[in-house]
Amino acid sequence: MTWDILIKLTHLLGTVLGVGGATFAEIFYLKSLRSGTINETTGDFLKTTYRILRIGMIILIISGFSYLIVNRLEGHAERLYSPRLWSKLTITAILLLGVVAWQAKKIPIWLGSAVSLTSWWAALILGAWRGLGATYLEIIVAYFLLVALMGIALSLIRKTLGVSHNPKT
Amino acid sequence: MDKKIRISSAAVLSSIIVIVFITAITIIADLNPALKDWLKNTFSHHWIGKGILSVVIFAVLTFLFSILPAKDSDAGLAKKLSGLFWISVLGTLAIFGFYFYEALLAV
Amino acid sequence: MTSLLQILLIAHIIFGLLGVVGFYAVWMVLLKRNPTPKFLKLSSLWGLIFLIVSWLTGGYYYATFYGASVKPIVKASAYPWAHNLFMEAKEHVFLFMPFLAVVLTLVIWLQHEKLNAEVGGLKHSLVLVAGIITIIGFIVTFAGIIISGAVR
Repeated sequence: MTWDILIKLTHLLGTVLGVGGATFAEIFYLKSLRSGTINETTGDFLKTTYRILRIGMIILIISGFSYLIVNRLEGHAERLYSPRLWSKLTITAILLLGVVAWQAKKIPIWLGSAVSLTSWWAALILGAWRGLGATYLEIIVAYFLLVALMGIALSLIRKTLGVSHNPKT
Repeated sequence: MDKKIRISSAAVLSSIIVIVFITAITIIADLNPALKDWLKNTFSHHWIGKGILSVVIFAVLTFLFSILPAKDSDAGLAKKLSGLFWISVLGTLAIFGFYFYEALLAV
Repeated sequence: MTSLLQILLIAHIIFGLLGVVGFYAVWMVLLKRNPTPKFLKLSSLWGLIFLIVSWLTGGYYYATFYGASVKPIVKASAYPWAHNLFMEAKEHVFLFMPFLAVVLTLVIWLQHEKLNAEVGGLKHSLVLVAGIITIIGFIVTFAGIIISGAVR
């Protein structure tokens, strides 16, 4: 197994844990809103899911930078200026800062959820979409539009389920 | 007086001074080749010199501030920490601003 | 580049990232209503140790190799600003981090029993310091990618 394959596998693992974790965290949260309470079991599921999500993020960051190191050392430095890469870096930074803002209660939970879900899925799609010819600006504008759409979609889902944002714990 | 608060306050105050020092010597050394050469000749590299001087200043000042009589409190420590935050922000902006000017605007 | 320099460069990047992870974790936990002192102490110490390792490994690489062998390539490339702006700024702003990290770690270790109640605004001010270490960490990381990308 070469370093390239090992890094790729590790990066995929981080993606699976992160995207899966973010998606299931939202599903569990919606279920708890629907029931009106966050009971001990749900709370435990959420806690575990967030922990897995964080582990996924750390694995992604280390493996992602390992990719960059390999590119640098093997004479492919030009890949470090790729619009796709910089879009992923920007989205990752927005996600990490968004989590802080949510933790500090500076942004509402619906926005935090929209940023989290969109960011994770956008990073997955950008990672998989080799040959994407878009510029950095085009990708970032599309990302912000998708965050807005995700916010609207989650809002509609909550309305359909007849839930509010203040479950009893 | 709480010894822990005194040591904490001493370290914070020293850090503030060190960050101001790093910012100042970075900009001045770039504008004054003689200073940069002195750092290089004394410490083998200007960056190593800035690092070593910063560590020495921090260590000496932290020791001195921790033994000097002073009024320390939790609120005072918090205020110093906030000051450290702002000095770090300003220092970062100053250094990036200076090199932005040097790299892209200066003729 | 020799194997030793490659290892030092890799170590600089990986330990630097892990250091930033540690301080990001401190930042996040300090924002909780009841931050866990044990986690804060371990994360801040982890962040500090890894940051110092990153400083030493990167510093050796920078002082012995970058100036003579990498800088000329970057300055002659289509992106001389990668050195003139980003490397110059990064190498100096990075010097703030060890002192910020020492202060944050020291205060957490010495004052951790005061962090569950907002004693004199201490928790809030530590949030600011943890935040600025993390943000500077993000900035120097991105600057590092810009510099490395110009080595062609």
